[in-house]
Amino acid sequence: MNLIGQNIHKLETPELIIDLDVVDANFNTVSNAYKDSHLKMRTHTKNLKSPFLARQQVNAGGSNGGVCTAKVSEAEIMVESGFDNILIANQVVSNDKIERLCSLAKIADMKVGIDNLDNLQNLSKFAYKHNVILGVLVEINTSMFRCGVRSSKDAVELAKLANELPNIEFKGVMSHQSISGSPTEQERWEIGKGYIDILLDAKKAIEEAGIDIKIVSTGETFTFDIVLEYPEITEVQGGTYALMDVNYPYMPFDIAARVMSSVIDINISLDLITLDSGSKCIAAPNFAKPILEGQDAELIDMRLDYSVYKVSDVNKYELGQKLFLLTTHQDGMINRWDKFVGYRKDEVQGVWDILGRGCHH
Amino acid sequence: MERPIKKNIGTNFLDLDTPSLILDLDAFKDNLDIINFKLNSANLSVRIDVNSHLTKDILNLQLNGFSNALGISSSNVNQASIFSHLADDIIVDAALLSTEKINSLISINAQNSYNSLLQLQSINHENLCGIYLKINADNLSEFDNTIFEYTSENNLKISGIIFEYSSFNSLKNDTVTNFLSLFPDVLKITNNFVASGKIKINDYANLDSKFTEIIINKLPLTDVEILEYNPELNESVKILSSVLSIPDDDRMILDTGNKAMNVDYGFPVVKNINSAVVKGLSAEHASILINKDELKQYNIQDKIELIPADISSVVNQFDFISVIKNEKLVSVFNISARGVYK
Repeated sequence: MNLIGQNIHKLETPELIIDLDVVDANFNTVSNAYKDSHLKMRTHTKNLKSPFLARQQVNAGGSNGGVCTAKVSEAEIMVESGFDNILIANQVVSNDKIERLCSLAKIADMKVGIDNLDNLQNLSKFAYKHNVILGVLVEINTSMFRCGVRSSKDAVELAKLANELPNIEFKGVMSHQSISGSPTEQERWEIGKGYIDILLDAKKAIEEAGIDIKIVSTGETFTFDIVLEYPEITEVQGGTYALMDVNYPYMPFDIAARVMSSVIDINISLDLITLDSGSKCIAAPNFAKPILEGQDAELIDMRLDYSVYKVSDVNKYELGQKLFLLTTHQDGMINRWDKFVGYRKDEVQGVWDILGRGCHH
Repeated sequence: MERPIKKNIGTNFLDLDTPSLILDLDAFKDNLDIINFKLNSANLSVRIDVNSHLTKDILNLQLNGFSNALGISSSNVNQASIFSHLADDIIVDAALLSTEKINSLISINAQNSYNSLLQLQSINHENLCGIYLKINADNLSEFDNTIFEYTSENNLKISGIIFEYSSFNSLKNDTVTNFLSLFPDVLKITNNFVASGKIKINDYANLDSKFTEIIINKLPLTDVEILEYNPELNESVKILSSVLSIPDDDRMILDTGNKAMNVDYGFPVVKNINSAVVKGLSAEHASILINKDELKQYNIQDKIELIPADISSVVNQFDFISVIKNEKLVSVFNISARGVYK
């Protein structure tokens, strides 16, 4: 159905809507910060999952022209969409996926995170077999205790091996970090700098071992401005900033993505309203509660296909009324939709495929 | 580039790309037989909730396997339309209020459920194929009896009543029985009383005899919750993951995060590793804590099996289900109604 030109409030619900003016503003914030800087944004497309939106950051400026992905299948989408400078900011360990990575390396500059010597040797083996060069960055754990080496000593060992192996080009180091709660500005800077210092310690150790480093890739939305103080950092892996979610109200980015919902029931005696949107279309991992935007409302129950909110003034609601849900987990929400409706000033501009949705492999 | 990538039929399931959603066909069919026996013993017809698997091929197996399958229920009208050529008797078990959605409902000759007087008053019901009233079996004392008066005064075509249980027990059953005994004749119920929700298969026979039909969701698919409630069932669904990293001597990181393994309703359980505890899932990773000695047996690339906490939410994250028999891939089921929310 052609929705272009329609007022978003007339659309059937639930619907994922993205305010393109807000996206532009978020991208321009990055562009203004980085355009004359020593470092550039490498937008992390595991959040956006849309090559169209990722391209808008490149067009706005402040970008190095490349993107991050979390999976080989996401990288395939981005390469197919014209990006030729990809960092898979994650490990690729299974043989099948390494072969697909090598296939991409024939047409794009492919880089991948490493934290394991056996994996590195396997990457080299397949890169040699396919006659391609794979770039590698040692992932340094700074805070999240997922993948990533736990010490600079391990980082040096990996860097040395990467420097020796055929068809592997050692590029540098990378890290990813997060922050929770509502830190003060001082706390945010102290925490962010503490994480970055761990990454730079590893960089220094590798350089002291006589190995050159070309890329120092770090980031997350909450350190996007902190990194400007570090001349050693070459690029930032920003993801959430583009569409934002409710977790970073203190950052200079606005929320662009919402799930528009309709009120489908009102219980006046219990002060409850029911919406036609449930967990299938708005992520609520680890029992994080989506926010009903602009309403004094508390989530009481969320099922697959509906949500129940307790509201302070139940009489102001009516059946069919459109309300907007904000997610606490943007990655997860975008990944539940095949398309999004882009709008400006309430008017639909277009409907775009979320090509990276469901790219789990 | 090809996407999604599906492996050749005959591939050992351990060689599938991960994360993979896997259905064990033999376990599924065994479960189907067990459940079918329970349904027949209780003299219940069954309505299949397609919302829990979103998959035409699974619906076909259910329609062929249940001897008293009479139709389907769905959670929205577009979802119902995807399955409408496979079943004649359809209930969209969610209140449809907009004109567009009701027109779609009528076009596929489906019925609709409503649970409040406000909803009924808001719609033009003249052309509807039939209305089910939905009642929360857990809070019958809060039921608004004026719904009965309204349906009677307006001569609504009430096809049946759906009683939804958050869980079933004998006390609730007594309350429902009492409620049914006082049920007003004026409703002119033309069809039946339907039980829905979390009901153990061993409790089918304990439902009040007025129930003629039960809506099953998930079954014969299984998850942590289903297996806990129905230990006699076989484990029919799992997620295959790979070890992505072993960064500590008591932790492995899997390539399965909450984008694949939806954790909105709880963490998965790790199979076959006694000491494994799921520490958390971020978007693309699962962090698993394991006894140091047990972890020594594992390397990156090794496959780990997970049981999802809630299969209905997980199935909406994938595009297809890998179907295995004797550990070999025998079919790939496309998840036909994934992402269909309206």
